[in-house]
Amino acid sequence: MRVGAAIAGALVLWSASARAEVPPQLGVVVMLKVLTYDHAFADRASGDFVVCVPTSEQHADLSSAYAAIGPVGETLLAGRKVRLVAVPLDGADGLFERKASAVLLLPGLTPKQVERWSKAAERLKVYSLSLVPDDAEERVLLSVEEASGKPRPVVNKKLAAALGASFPPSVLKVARIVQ
Amino acid sequence: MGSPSRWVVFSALGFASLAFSQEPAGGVVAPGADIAALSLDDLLAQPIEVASHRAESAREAAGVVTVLTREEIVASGARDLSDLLWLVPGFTQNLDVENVTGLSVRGVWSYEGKVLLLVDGVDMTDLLYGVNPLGLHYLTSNIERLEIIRGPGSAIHGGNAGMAVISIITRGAKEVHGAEVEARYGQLSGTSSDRTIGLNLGHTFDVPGQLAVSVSGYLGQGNRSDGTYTSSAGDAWALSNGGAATNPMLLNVGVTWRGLKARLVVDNYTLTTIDGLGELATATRDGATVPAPATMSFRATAGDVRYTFQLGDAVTLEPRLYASLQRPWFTPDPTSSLYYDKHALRSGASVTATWAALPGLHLLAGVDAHRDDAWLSQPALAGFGANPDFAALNPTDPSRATLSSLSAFGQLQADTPVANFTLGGRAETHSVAGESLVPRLAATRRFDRFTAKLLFSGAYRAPSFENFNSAPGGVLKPEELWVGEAELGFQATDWAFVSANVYGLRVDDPILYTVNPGTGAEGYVNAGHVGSRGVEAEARLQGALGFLRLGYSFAQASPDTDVSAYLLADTKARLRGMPGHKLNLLGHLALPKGYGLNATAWLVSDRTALGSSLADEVFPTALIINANARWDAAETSPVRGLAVTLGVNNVFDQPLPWLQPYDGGHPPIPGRGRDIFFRLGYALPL
Repeated sequence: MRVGAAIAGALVLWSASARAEVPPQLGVVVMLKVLTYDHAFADRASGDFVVCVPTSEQHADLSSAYAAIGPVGETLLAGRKVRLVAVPLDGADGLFERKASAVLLLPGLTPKQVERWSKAAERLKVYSLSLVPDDAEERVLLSVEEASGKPRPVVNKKLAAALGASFPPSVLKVARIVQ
Repeated sequence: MGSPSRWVVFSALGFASLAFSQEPAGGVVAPGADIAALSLDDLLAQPIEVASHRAESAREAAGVVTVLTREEIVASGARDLSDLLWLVPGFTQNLDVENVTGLSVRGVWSYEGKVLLLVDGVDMTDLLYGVNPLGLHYLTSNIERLEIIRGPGSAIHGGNAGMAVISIITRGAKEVHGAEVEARYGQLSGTSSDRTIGLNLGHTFDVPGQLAVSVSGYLGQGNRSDGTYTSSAGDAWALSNGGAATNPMLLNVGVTWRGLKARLVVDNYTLTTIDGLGELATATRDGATVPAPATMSFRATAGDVRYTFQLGDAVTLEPRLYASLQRPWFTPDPTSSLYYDKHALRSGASVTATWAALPGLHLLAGVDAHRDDAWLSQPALAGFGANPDFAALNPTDPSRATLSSLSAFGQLQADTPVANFTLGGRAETHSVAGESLVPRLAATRRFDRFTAKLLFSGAYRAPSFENFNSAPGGVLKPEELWVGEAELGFQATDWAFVSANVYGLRVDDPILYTVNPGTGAEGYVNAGHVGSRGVEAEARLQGALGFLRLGYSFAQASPDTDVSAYLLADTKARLRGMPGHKLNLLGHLALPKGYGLNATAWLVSDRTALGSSLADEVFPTALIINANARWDAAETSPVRGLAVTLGVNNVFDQPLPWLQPYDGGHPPIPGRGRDIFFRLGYALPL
């Protein structure tokens, strides 16, 4: 009995001391769900919803995160097949040819890489998403962060306006807004 | 060993098949589901874990791991798995008998029963001897990724995984999106080295649940060497006239739908062998016994069906059924001195559960049961050539034998601020070999750019049919392996990662193959101890210009090794047929307009083994350098999807003979000389 209580206590302490971050798969699903609230979502494109993910299998962090979000590539988004496409880190110029609907930035990219990809997304008017909350402060449309043990979207309103995206109050109410 | 209390403890822990390639437990959304249909409120109410039980990168995995990606595989110009394994630190390759070669790991001959080979999760290991032959066996045309544990995997994967686990992940519907075809031709000075063609098809059907189907396959012909083989009797045979052929044929079908995954692999790897057990193989022709290459094949039809049930947010349950029908070492000619014709069938089932119990705490548990049957395909021909019956296992009906196994495995993974800890093990009871219990302990810590790992694992190998069959009185114990490893990794920059590890391993009661070259009589015994210790290092650099991958390994025999078949008279620093040092390199230089220059190389330091004179010889250090140039058509090109490679293997025609790593009386088979190859690939999106 005492052993059980000790183990339970240790687990609680352990849990409390744990570092909190949004699991990649959950983070991506939350962001994709938020995108469906964009008033212009249905008008942007048809066919597969292509999410370009800059990554390199030589980079442990990126390849790990990419593997973690893999199951998202087997889902649909408002009836459109979600297709995750791994693209080379230096392939920002190829977004148009890939018919990208969104760019997803994983943890582990350098600031320069984030800037290059977010600018490419802005130029082509495609959604820019990131699993790093700080990226939404300046560079990407949408991210997700942990708040009180739950995921919370982070929306960059300035970039949303630049991309022609707008979200209803019901979504903005549960998100952190970056002006 | 196997006491009830230990069984209880390990059953309670559950198992964790925590292979680094596995999909995460506790998935957020089911395959085929529409994210738009999910409730945003529900999504935002999901509790967040410290780290989900997720696919782990090589850097984080609780093991010493090497991963070769498709990009690297293509750049390497490798034609098959054997070529790729030369690029793995600590791995070398040696000769068994009958033109069959296999893997040595960390300075110890591991091919027989110590390396597990998986193709898309399906075990391809031969059930009769427990071997995995290499040499134009698994072609690169359909390999998407190669994941290798350079160390024990028994706690997770069971027997035959004592020294390494090699997991081939083939190109599926996710990667192919249509059709890919690849043709390749290689020419040695005296004969072709390989001529193969491969086809990959993949498509995801847009139906509820997303049905993904992939079919890949290849066939071809090859030759291990065009040199001259000198037999143990001193007879010479020019291999350019046949006698060392390696002909692959494989079909791989995969289907996924929702949580269902099914896989079927049909493998027919055919060899010709003039080398036999050392002397030239013979057959009866026109009433006379004459030297004649024997045709031998390893046939296997294997597959599995599994379904992953998502029970709530934190629990998955995966039942799996699997089977493998084999006809390995099949030498059909009854007049051949190597005649052999037996079947084996494995049928089994497993259930694996995962539970993300708390933030940072994950449990896996499972059970596995399988039955192996083996039988003489032609009972009337028992005793011909090397075709003894199964009398040692089943005196009442020596034409067939049965083995069975029941095991439970478990693993607990705990991510803490101090380190990530893994504690697991596997317990097995075998119908003949008895009980085995192996633990697995690991601590990994990542801090800033560094990763540190401390690993300790046990492993075991249950004897196979022919091990028992050729053991005195049919009595043989499982061999046990104990391995300690420490690894330090450093992500120096965004483009540079280096890692180094030290290890020590010991095999108790190794199951040792002995053969009388004169009579062909085989025998298996438990023989003392064998072990090694050493250092391995890898460096990976990646930039806009390309990538470079370097590896180094050093292995030294343990002083207490007392297996005479492996020991050498002139040195105790290394074992028979093993190098002390190995270097390997893989480089790719990206040029404009889709062009690329690639090179691979491996340096194998001097080795000592039986030479053609039937005395031990020192075979000098060999440096094998391979180079190729590749062109990939641009996406905007009218010939988009086309890729052309032209290359040269063994540019300087260096000898790297296939050496037998035990005292089996088999002289070396010459290595592959310089060959020029051409590869044409075309991908057609559908």
